[in-house]
Amino acid sequence: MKTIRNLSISTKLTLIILLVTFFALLSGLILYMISAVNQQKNDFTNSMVVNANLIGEYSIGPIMFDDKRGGTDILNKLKGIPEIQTAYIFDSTGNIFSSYNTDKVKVNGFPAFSKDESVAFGSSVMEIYEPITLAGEYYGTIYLNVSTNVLESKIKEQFLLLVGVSAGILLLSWVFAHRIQVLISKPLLRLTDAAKRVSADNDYSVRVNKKNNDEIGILYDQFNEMVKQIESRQAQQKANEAAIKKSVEKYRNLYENSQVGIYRTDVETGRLLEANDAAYRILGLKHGSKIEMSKLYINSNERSKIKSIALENGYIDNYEVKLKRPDNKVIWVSISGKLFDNNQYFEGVIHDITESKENFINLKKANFELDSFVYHASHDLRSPLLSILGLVNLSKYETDPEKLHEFMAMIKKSIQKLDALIADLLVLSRDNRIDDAIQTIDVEKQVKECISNYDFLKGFSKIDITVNVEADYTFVSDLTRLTIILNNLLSNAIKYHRKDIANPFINVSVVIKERTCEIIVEDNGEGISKDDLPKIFDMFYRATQNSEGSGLGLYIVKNVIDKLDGSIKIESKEGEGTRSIIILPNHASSHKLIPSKTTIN
Amino acid sequence: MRRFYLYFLLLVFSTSLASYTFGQQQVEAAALKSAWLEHFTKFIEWPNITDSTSHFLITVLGQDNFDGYLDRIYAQRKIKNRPVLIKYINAPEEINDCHILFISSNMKKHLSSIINLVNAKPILTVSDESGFAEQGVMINFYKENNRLSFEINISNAQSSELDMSFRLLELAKIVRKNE
Repeated sequence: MKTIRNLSISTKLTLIILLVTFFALLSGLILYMISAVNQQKNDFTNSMVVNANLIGEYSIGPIMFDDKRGGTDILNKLKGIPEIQTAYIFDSTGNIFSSYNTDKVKVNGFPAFSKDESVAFGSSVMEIYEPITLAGEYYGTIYLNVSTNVLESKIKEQFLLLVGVSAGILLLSWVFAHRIQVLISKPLLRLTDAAKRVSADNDYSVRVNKKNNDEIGILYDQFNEMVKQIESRQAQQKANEAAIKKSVEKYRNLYENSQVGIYRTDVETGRLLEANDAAYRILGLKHGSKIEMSKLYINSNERSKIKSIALENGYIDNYEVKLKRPDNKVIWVSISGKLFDNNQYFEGVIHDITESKENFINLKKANFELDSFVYHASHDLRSPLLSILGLVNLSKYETDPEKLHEFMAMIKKSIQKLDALIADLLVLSRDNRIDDAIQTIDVEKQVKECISNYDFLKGFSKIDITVNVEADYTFVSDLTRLTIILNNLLSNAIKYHRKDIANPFINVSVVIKERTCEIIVEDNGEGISKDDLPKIFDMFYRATQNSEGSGLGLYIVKNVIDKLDGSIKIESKEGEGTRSIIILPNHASSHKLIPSKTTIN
Repeated sequence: MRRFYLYFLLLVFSTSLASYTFGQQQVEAAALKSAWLEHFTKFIEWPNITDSTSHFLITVLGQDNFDGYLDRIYAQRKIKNRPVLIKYINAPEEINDCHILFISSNMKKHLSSIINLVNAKPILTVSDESGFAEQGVMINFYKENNRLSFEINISNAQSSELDMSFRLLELAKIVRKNE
């Protein structure tokens, strides 16, 4: 049945037509054969019965007049009917009156006698008993033995002829069926081809040309309409897809190229699900990393804090958190975002706010420094002025010229102190604002000039000052700032030498290398106490009460060295001496460069 | 049944007894001839036998050679479904309306006049003398190979008013009237 079903429609139609024709022919053939066989048999029987009757009629006379020869003569006339093989005339007593048989047939015995009329069929033989009567009187019986071979062969012949004709009709009907099925199958095949083309090439411009108005024509119309709709829908879909693609691309670009980190985490686990490049960059993660965000938090309970805020409000707004990246860099980030899908996911943006946070801290520091400066500066500026004011008031009532002179000297000292302080403040202000051009510096000369500036100081002559310079390279730097450093360090070393020892000394050693200049100032002066040592670079910090300075010296040195991108380290022991190691960058190899540290506000 | 019995008797006579004694043969021939008269009537139609015809008439002219068989047989038997009347006459003048006229051999001299007398009438003429048929008797018995046969003068049979079946003709030797 499956093979039949898989046949092509044209074959199926041909088969159907042939099958119908075949069965029509078969039933016709069978019916015809049945009736024909019956008819022929009847005809044959009838004709033989008629023969028997005739013979009987003719035999009456011979029987009546005992003319056996006449009987034989009559029977001999049966030669004209070859089907009759043997014939007998019985007289009324059942004796054989005459007999006849064709030469071809051998007769074994005699047929039984019967008075009754009968027709019986044997194998290829028909036996007829026909009584001979005249005017109601019985004279005898005619017996005929008829071969039915002729009848059978006739029927066979007819059957074969009919089969032949049927075969011919079948052949003809096959030819016709083959022609006729085209009417149905061809339009269907055309439709199939069109459908194949549509599905194979996705070509929806295919249309079938309608030729008939039957069901197939309607099918064509429906097919065309369907394909047309698909075509227009496909065009629409293409346009939609293009629009969606464009939109997706736009948003993808926005997402991927954004400088703001965008990411998505699983609320339950805190695991990072996806993030754009900026987010990975900010977090210092490999692209595609699925780390748990909480592992980055420096403060481990930040996660539960963020989670509870998010669950409470449904969103987080600029939550600032300190992270430690896998590369150990500590950063500050700001997180904003919302929960989605029944609080399953968190989608947010992340900003690196480390710099602004540092700036903020610096600003705070600067603010503090400014406060401290204003306080100290106003105090330090005011105290000489108050002492001058006191001296001026005293001098009103003093008439002794000696005393007045002393007052004047004291006023002068206060003014000088004030001036020194203002000079220091100017240096500091200048250092913060101005960048001088760099130049080649003869460090030895500068050191010596600097030392000679302080030869007026008390006890200077007693100090053994040595300067040792190893200059394999030229030194290029900011001369003004170098001078500030040298002046402060050397003046401190001279001022705070120990007067009670016999051999106070100051050793200045300078080593100029290709990229650095190392300056070491070493003395065996008063030194700095352990408690004071961490504070020596603070503004207005004075380590000793007997200090005459402004308290800005080392603060200025530190500031200047920072400006020059150098470093300073001071080692000291109270009562033993101090050793200052300064390392400054040598710009000899990149002469044109200007140290570029912007002023801190 | 009765008829069959008679036939049976006749056949017994004709086939077995008749064959070996002359006397018996003569007797048997007379019986056969008597029976055959009835057989002839089966093949012959008389136009004058109608519903009103009460008897079938047989006239024997001249010497009776039937040895009384005729009377014995037709005492019971009917011809054409009618009782049979047998009349014996000796002169042609006595011939009146009958259905079968048996002309005895001793009527040889008067034969032509007898024929002339009955020729136009529906009378079947029967004889038992050679040459009679040629002279105009319709049916004449004769012996051939010791077997009883009959000959028919077809001319007279045809010219008479009688309707004689061809099947009877087939059984007979056909003779024609001498002109």
